[in-house]
Amino acid sequence: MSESMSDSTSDALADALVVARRDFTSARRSKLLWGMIGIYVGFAALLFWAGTTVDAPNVPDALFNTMFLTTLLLPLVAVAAAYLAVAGERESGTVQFLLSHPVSRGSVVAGKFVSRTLMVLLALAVSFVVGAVMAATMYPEPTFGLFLRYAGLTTLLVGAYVGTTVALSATAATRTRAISLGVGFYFLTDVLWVFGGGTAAVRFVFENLLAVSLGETFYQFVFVLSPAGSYLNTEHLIFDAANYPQLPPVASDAFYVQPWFSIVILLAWSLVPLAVGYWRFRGAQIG
Amino acid sequence: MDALQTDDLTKRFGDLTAVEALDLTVRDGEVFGFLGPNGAGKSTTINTLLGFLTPSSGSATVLGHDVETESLAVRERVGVLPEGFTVYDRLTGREHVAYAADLKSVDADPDRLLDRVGLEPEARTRAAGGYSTGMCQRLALACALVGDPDLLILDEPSSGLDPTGMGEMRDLIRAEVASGTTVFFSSHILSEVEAVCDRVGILVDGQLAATGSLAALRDEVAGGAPVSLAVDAVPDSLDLASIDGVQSVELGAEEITCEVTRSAAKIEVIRRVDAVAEVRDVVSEATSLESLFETYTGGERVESQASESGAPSEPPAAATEGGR
Repeated sequence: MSESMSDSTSDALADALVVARRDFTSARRSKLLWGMIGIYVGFAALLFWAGTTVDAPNVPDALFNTMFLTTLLLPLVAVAAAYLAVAGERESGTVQFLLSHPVSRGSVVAGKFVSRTLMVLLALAVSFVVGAVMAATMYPEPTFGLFLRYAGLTTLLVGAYVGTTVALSATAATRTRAISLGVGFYFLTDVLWVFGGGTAAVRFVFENLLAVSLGETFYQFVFVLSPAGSYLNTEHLIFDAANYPQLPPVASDAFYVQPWFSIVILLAWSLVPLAVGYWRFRGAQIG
Repeated sequence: MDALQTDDLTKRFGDLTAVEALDLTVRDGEVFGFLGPNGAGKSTTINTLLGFLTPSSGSATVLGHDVETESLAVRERVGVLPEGFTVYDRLTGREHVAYAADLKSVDADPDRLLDRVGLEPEARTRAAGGYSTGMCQRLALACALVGDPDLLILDEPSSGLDPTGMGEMRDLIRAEVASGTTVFFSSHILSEVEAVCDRVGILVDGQLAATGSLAALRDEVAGGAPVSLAVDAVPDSLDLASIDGVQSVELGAEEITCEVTRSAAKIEVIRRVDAVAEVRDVVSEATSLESLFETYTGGERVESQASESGAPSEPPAAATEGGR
């Protein structure tokens, strides 16, 4: 082949966008997905409305109150939006149609990641538009800047869960396996880790069973290793912990528990599993 | 240049050998029929050519490109109708064709292609999830034709089509060949291969049992198609063997069976018997080509096993590898 490396890279990117575009068209016609998105937007709006009923309504408090809902619910929307990305095509057989065209499996995985991320970001955008309208009309001070920063951090959360779920989908040959992997990942890293005392369990194992004392920094690192934990940790960047004691505190000066490093962790969750998923999918025997 | 060539191509799944030591050549511009019963390994072969599967050993080139190392280049110039094509339920027919065009980076007029394959205009803007099997198959063919490929690979193209649809499919294949496209298509139905193919390869249990033009294969195989007549009483001195094309005659008490090598001979047999006896029933079995097919896929396999190994009991079909 005479084509240069950069040509083939840009071809692969162009192919990924072609896949993303049609996949987005197809995915956005799924009623189930819109149901999931509707539930998230509905809950967020409800909480935002509840924020106007307190003594001194203000947007930061209202946004902060949606944060735990977002941490619990948005990753589930992301898993629902992404678990069939590749496995669904393998189970139904459309992947044979897709791969009979000159498109690499890498472009397929990348395209799926782009379209499913956009799908969930659309839900996020809808809820933020609803929130902004409510802020402008129902609150004394709208503080849109905080909205944007909050949306930026939440985008990282979406990327991490969509990326990992697309990656898991790329390693699964069937729908059943894809959904077990996706929901399992969500349950472990979000429900259990952040809300169900996953880190407490780790602490119990080390301190009570093994009698090892490891210090708070270690346990906070265990906490922020999960994308949901890291997301909560990044909130220190926009909310002052002095005003919001519910935020898990930053345990020490160690760089790996700092809020900025949690951004790195979230980006890693978006991309590293995807690379592994691609690698597994590349070698998959199809047909 | 050959459009397609496999060299000792083998694909195993664990202990199962799906395709074994396949040497296949499809010449530029011809229509090649890839025949074999279901499960013979036809789709495995095609999926290996398209890079869905990695060969266990051996190699293959399509349009001069290696199927393993240059798969994208292969798929650039090939139009494919995959085995048991399934649609994207929520995309319309027109969107499928547009998708195929985008993936191939070519401009295509979806409506012109959908006209060619006969998908009704009102169906084109509907979600393809509601299509019948026949409509899906037409849509698949339209997608395969996008970008005027040099080689069409059609895996069981007529499955789900009614006789009219099958006829249209044949016309379309002929038109493509007339415009210089090479066509490689698999089928387990002989008659549809017979109607359009220059050459055929017959695959049995993952191995190529025979390859060549149909005429050449016909000559290779002795024995024709049987026609049986039930009569009140078998008359004497029929001399059916004197009819041109009658290969053998067998007379029972109330039954006459002839093996014929051309269809017209059947009619002559029936006429001659009818003139002197009352014919109660006529059973005309396989055409000569079907018996040819059966010879390769059934009869001869048993024969060659017996002559090669002389084994007292017939081993199961899946365990007969390793003879080479």
